[in-house]
Amino acid sequence: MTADRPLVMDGAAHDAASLPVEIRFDKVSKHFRRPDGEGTFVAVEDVNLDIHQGELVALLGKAGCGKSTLFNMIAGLQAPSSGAVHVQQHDPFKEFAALRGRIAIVFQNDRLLPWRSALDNAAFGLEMMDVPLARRHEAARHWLARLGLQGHENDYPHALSGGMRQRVAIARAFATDAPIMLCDEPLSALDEITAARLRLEFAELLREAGRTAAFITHSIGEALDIGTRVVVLQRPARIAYDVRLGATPAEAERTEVRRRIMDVLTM
Amino acid sequence: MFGQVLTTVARTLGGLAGAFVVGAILAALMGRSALVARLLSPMLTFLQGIPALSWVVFAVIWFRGVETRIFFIMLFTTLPAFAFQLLDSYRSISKDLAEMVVSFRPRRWQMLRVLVWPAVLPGVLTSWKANLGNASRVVVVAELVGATGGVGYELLQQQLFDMAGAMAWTLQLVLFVLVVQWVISAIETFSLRYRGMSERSL
Repeated sequence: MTADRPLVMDGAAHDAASLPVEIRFDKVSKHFRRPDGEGTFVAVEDVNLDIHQGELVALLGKAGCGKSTLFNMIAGLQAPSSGAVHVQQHDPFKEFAALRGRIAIVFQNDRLLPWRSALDNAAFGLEMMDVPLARRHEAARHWLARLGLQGHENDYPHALSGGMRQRVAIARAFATDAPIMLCDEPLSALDEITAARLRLEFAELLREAGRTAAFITHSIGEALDIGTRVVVLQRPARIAYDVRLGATPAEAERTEVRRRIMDVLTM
Repeated sequence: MFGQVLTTVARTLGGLAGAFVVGAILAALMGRSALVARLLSPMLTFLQGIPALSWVVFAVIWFRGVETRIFFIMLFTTLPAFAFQLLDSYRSISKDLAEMVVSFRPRRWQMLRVLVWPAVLPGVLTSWKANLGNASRVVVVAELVGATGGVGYELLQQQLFDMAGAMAWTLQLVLFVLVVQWVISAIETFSLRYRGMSERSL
């Protein structure tokens, strides 16, 4: 099963494939030189993947399977060794500045600037886009409020809990209004209860905002809760299973997908 | 009398500012290029090993102007410490934060303004505090040779065992160092107010 022809579990989900392609991997491979300088190792091998507008794609796989490398190539932080990556028809590495304001990233840890208040951290992406102060503060306040942080705008990160800091990081990404959202295990640093609550809010916000999102996760549950499509990778990053889900997949469908994912991951 | 102290103050701060600017440029070059760091680092270590008195002698031999001599001495006695301390601050910038900032595709000046400057500021303030004490000692030695004003020159006039005069000039200089240290600490307290404090001290 390849990304060119993902398994479609629901007729409605098929509509996603008819929308424009936002992210395209065309025969992409990535090799790294080994730290000892002897030879290279393959992190990503011959990946073809189209992510369409509005799709919420969960990238699932074991540790070290190349998920983060794929993520970094979409973000433009790494260049492919061969093949081509396109984000909205731009090469994200070579045309780095062309995608300013079009990609927002939520990292595994909050990565808030400790010298900035919650408000200024949430407004950070907009500041990089030269949005005037009043407008960026208005957007940041809106998203902080949406994420339940009203009244904490002037708090510095050290005064916030881990969950609150991650909410500020999510607000920072949403405030940019970027059409593409990249999330690298955004909830993995949180405790189970906070993560479960935030996961639902996060999925709702992504769907509501109509963003295209690619998110890395180790959790099958998280992939099925947030994703409208699940791509399972095997080491080195090679697509082993690719499935589109319905907007509200039935329990039987979820169980079947979960079983198949488990089969691939335990192969 | 106070004019002499101000002269010494101006020489100290001028020398420190010059060393800071040159040190910051060298630190930036070393931070961005491993090759430059390999080249400059041993040279700065070598300069650091030269005693202040040797710089005084070199300055007298190489330069005629009093202010040029003093500036030269101040520059070279404090430059290596500034360069190393600023380089260390630059290298301590969190890779995670740098990656986060880069992901928003900032321009170079934005990167400097929003990440590099705030991240190195604690190191900058510490380097000023550390170098100030050293500079206030060196400037007095520099003023002993050829200067016609300043605390060092005045101290030289007290060499015929005028203890009260020597103490008065020394205390004025120490007072100046304390005032500047207080100003730097006030800037530090204000600009680093974001840092969390534990209720129990370390």
